[in-house]
Amino acid sequence: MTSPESLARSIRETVAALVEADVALVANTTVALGNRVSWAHLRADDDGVPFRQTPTVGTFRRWLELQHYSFIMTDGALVQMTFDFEAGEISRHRLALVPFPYVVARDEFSVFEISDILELYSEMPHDEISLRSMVRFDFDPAAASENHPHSHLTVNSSSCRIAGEAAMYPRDFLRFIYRNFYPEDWIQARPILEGLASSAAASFLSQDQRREPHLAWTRS
Amino acid sequence: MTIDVVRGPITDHVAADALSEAASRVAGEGTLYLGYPILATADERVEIDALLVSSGFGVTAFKFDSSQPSDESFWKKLADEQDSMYVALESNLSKHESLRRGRQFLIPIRTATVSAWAPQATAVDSDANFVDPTDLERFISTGEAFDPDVYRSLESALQRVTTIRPAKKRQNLQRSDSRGATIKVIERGIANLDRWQKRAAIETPDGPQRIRGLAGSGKTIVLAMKAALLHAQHPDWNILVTFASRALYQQFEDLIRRFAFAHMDDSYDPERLHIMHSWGSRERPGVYKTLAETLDTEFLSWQKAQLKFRSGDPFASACKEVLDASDAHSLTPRYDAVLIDEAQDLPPEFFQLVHKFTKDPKRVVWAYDELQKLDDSEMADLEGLFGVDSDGSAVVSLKNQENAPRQDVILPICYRNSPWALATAHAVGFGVYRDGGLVQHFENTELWTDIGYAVVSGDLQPGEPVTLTRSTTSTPRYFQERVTPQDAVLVAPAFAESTEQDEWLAYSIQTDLREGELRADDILVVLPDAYTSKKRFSQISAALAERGVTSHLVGVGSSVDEVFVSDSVAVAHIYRAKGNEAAMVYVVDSQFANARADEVSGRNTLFTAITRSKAWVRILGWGTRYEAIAAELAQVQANNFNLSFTVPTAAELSEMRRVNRDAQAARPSLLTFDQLLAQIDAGAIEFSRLPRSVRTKLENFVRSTDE
Repeated sequence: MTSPESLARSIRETVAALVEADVALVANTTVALGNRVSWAHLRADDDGVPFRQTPTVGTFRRWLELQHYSFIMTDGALVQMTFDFEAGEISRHRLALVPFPYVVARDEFSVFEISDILELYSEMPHDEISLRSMVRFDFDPAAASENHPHSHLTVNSSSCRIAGEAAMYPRDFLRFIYRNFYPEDWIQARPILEGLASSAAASFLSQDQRREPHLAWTRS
Repeated sequence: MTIDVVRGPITDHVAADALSEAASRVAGEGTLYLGYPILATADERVEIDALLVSSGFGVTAFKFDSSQPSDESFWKKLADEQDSMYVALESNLSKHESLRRGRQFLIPIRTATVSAWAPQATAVDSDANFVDPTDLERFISTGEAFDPDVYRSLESALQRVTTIRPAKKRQNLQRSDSRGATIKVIERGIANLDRWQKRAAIETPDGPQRIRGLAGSGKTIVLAMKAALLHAQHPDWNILVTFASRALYQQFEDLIRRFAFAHMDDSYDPERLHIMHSWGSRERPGVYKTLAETLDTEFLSWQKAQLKFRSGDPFASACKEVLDASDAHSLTPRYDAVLIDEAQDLPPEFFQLVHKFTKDPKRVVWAYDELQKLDDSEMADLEGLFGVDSDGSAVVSLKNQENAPRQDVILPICYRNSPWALATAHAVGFGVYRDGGLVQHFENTELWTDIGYAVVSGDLQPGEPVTLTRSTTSTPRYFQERVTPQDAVLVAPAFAESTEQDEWLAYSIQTDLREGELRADDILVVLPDAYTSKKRFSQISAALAERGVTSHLVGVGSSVDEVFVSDSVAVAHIYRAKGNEAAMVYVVDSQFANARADEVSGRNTLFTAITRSKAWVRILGWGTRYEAIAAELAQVQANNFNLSFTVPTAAELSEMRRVNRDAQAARPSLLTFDQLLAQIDAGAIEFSRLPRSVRTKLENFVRSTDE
């Protein structure tokens, strides 16, 4: 299907185009390291933050400092995309939208650095922190079980696993994000995202899983 | 050849002057240190009142004592003091391999106490000497001459106060002539203080002192050593070291700690020696923050100040608030000495504040870079900085008097940049080869020679043609030995579009890492335009990633000024690049310097970008606006990196300043839209390259003002 290098390249080109079109704020470099496509991990002292914990504002700050993101959205939210490959196919992924903890006027981001905005807003009363949840799509057939679908969507709590039909490829994921959370950017982002690969897989879901509310979409 | 006198703190001026005169008459080549050095033995601190190092007459350490002898033990005590001096000096100097042959220490050291009550015959059986002030000339001339090689080794050993080891370990270097190997040599060479730096550090007047020099002339090290020395000499003093960029915290703490150890064999006392950023933040103390709190005024963080004071310099306005508050309540001066680094980046209001809370005799030392000011205002003169009295005279004035520590100091050697990069940077900064002539120039033409240029032909007089070149004495040898001019400054071919430029950039960086043996964190890519830096970064990093090179945009992730990350090439816009340097610097989008409206600012940006390089700089640009810049750069090279121009007359200078002031008024601060509009109208900023939200706002703004 594709190789890690060519996926990394298509993501880089797409993100650069998104930034150019002002529907993304700033990029980190997406690279292919062996079988993994992710953002370039820069720091030796990088301890990361385990996903099991519920992310806090402090988590966001740490991720920002360590540059744990593929790119940043126009409202400061972090987009994190990691894909693992096996035999030319995506075998695993972790995709997340991590919202900026505060609601900030967009043009402030073109004037101040993101870290400065975070700093400034954190001096405001705690009541100003916005209650947006991280949105995460995981795909990991190897970890699949009764209560753990191959592909699932997690919101609010790590125990949440809304089953999804298939892996979310880059185009599927980014279209979902833009369409649902960035409607004013969606029109411009849409043609740019066409350059990315999308899923053509058959459904993984079992009958039982299909009986509960789940995520389904038509794939080519 | 006469003796060089360096004046540290002197308690006994009569004796010091007598010694200084005697040495000047007799000694010839060498240095007389007064009030220096301070050394430590295992048990105690040893203060040496004077140290004479003379090629013709050896090394002698002096103690001044004007007390009356009481009994036998008096002389014994003075002899013991001399023994301590000898021991401390010997143990300190014998650490240097060049001053030993095998286990033998090569430097004969004499000691003497200068006392008007010198005993007729030596009352004590020792190597101690007791000299009457009137007998100093004879005493000095009985010293032994040095072997010239040993003398030179001694001079450089004395210059090396402490070993400042280069931070990066460079292993895996395969070739001795690779870039990696060259930068290793350069980093080692920067580790010593030269005699100007040492002198500037030791001499501190009882009053203000200004230290100037090009960026990279070692002012930070000089200030650090000065602070450590003052602290060692006056442990009860409250001393403040402050600076404009947070990146210097680390540097000052590190340097002062080392110098303190060298002189006191102990760490410094943080209760007495304060190292503080000029502003401060929520987490860290700062000068402005401390004062605001003392005076019960609201402390504004940088971000808050930006929002509160929408025009002008937010720090100046914040300091003004505190200044006004200090008029209402009285402010008890608390510091005996204040040392300020990066003075060119601090507003006059800050200096006035500092002046207020420094005790008399107002020992305020400030260091600044000539030509480093990105915001285009001249470094305020003394009246501008410290203000004027009620009778109109400047609050602070500087004078270099004979036989006194100098108040106005210049450091001539630039360690950071190659002479060719400097000449190129100055040529572009001033517009030496610009079609239409210079855009800016010093008022005082002597400054050219002060900052290390030599006159090749012509005359540095208003209206006269002149040709200047970097003098060899202001150029560290390692540049001449290891780097060629053509490699030091490379001007890339003019590109039609940014994609071509970015592609060339990526290819060149890939080569640096492979064949050049450089590390990724040796490389800095500078973007002159802060506004468009995020977009440019995504394009540049994509081009680099295509070639397997990782890069990062400085400043996005963290408020703390971290620029370099291992294994990643740093890409920074000019405000983030400032204050940092890298072995290899790529200045991209250089056509930015050709901004029609505010040329000075654009050119200063290019100047700053070029002077980030420790060894090599590559200048790139694209589009039609680049052609003029490329032509100027070609002229510099064609002229062998000499600068040929006609020195402006006073009338021409004032015309230049007028033009620049007008242009400055039109330049945007990042927050006001009407200033932005003026820039767009003048063609200095491309409307389409602005972030969309800003464009929308501008359009709305224009619409609303039209209505």
